[in-house]
Amino acid sequence: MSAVVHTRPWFTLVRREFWERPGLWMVPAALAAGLVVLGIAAALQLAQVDLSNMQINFNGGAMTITGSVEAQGSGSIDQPLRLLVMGVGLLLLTVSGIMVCSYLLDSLYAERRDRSILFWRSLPVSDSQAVLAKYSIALLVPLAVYALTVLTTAILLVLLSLTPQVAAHWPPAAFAQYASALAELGATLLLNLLWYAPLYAVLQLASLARRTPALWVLLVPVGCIIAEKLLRGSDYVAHWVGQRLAPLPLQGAQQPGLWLGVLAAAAVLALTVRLRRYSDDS
Amino acid sequence: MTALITASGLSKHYRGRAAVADVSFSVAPGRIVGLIGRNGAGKTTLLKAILGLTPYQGSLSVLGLDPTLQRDALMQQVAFIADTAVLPKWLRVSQALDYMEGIHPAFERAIAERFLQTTEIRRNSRVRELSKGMVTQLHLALVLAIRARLLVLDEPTLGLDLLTRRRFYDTLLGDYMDEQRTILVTTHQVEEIENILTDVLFIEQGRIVLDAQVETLGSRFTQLLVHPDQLAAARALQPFSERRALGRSVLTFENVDRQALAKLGDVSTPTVADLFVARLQPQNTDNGSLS
Repeated sequence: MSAVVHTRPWFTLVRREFWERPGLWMVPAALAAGLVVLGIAAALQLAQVDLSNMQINFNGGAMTITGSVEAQGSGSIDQPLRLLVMGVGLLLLTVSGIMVCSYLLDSLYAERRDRSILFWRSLPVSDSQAVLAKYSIALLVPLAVYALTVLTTAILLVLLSLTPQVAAHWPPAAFAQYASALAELGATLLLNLLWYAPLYAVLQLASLARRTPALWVLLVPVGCIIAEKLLRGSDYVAHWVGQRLAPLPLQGAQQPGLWLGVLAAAAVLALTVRLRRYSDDS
Repeated sequence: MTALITASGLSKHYRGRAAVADVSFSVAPGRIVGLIGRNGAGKTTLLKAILGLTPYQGSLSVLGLDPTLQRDALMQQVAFIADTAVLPKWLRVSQALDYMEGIHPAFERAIAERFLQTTEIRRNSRVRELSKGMVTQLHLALVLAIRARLLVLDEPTLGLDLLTRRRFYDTLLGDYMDEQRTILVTTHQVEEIENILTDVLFIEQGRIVLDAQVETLGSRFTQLLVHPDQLAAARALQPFSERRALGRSVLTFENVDRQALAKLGDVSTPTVADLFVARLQPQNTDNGSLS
């Protein structure tokens, strides 16, 4: 017997998830690469365009930089920089957010659907490790996508700054403006990871359903909303669900619902760990 | 030596029906135990309880651990292959090795690599690209490379051809088994494994109906191919089973003097398969009821 064995359970468990669903990293990466290609095309185009009517269009309107640099003066590039960061960031984060939600909804269902669960269970991985590793994907992917956003926008900026027209009008505080837009995006992202923590936990809990987890996620809230409407004529639940699904702006950081939600997420996770234990026992 | 598995008063009910009913037994280290029973007899339920995969009543200790409360610690020293434990189709062979290495403190990659080299399994293949036999070989490679004290096999060779089945058990005995290790195996193909078993546990309707060491079967059980004119005399010695084979009656006795039986016909030691049939098959009343 060898004396010391090095295992890396968390690293391995997270890696496993990406083996099973390479789309989780491939789709955002491909999108970012597409944006860079568009950026290159735009930069080449820009070199030939009259600056008085500068117009760069990324991705069919997902992000638009409009206006004349000359007409607006040197400081005015602040707004396009912010648009660039927010546009690229929100596009990538929205896409990966949707992917993460559908991932969670399937996370504890797929292993029973393909009957591989007894194989995973034959190994020394506890239910809490398995559940938390899968849950952590929902946090890791957006963070990685944020890093990807930084990289993508930096490349796009460098491309733009290489065109002589933009270089000539480069605002002195461009870097500071760019950095502040990135910081704002980062802070909003961190806040919203906390804000959506309970939603993520609920999606994962639903993935323990015997069949059609998506139906549970839809039917339970819709059922509550209809029941409330019929019985009391009010729509607090609908209001609350709507509020909970909408992203939280930075100003919302103070609201107690944020931390109550994190507590709720922890409780739901604990429940999921317990329920996974015998989820395949029939 | 202390027992590796001890069960006492173990029961498990599914929706009011007893799948395992008040079972008690123990398994010593270094044994190869065959858990033998018909479909639905409770074999898999019993294994699931041992592996901490299902809650139960009664007391159960596996490697000194409680399978429900200490499942994670238990799985460091136990490996299992269930016929229903399907390797995920998307997994690559190399990923399976990486995963085991990253997760399992008792996994020795070199052993698995060495075994895989004797097969046609390529490292970059996905499980979905492998034949059923190859998937079982891969699973066996992963499991053999775990220095597990207890190996549980539930119908491990179901659906495989004869050569692959033979190779599976040869590998198991040659590369895996030693006095530190214990195997608990269930199978329908009793004849194929009876030569490797050291102990048998027969289970029927959730109860253990025979718990014996294979080496003691000869002194305990006798099979008698009885002469037709001696049938009445043989029946008087109270066989627990009687069946017709090739026009003659085969009677099976427990704890009856073999010398006395030899006067009535040809005596032999029943194989495990014979015993299984004798114990579990409903008596054929057409050929003379025992009751």
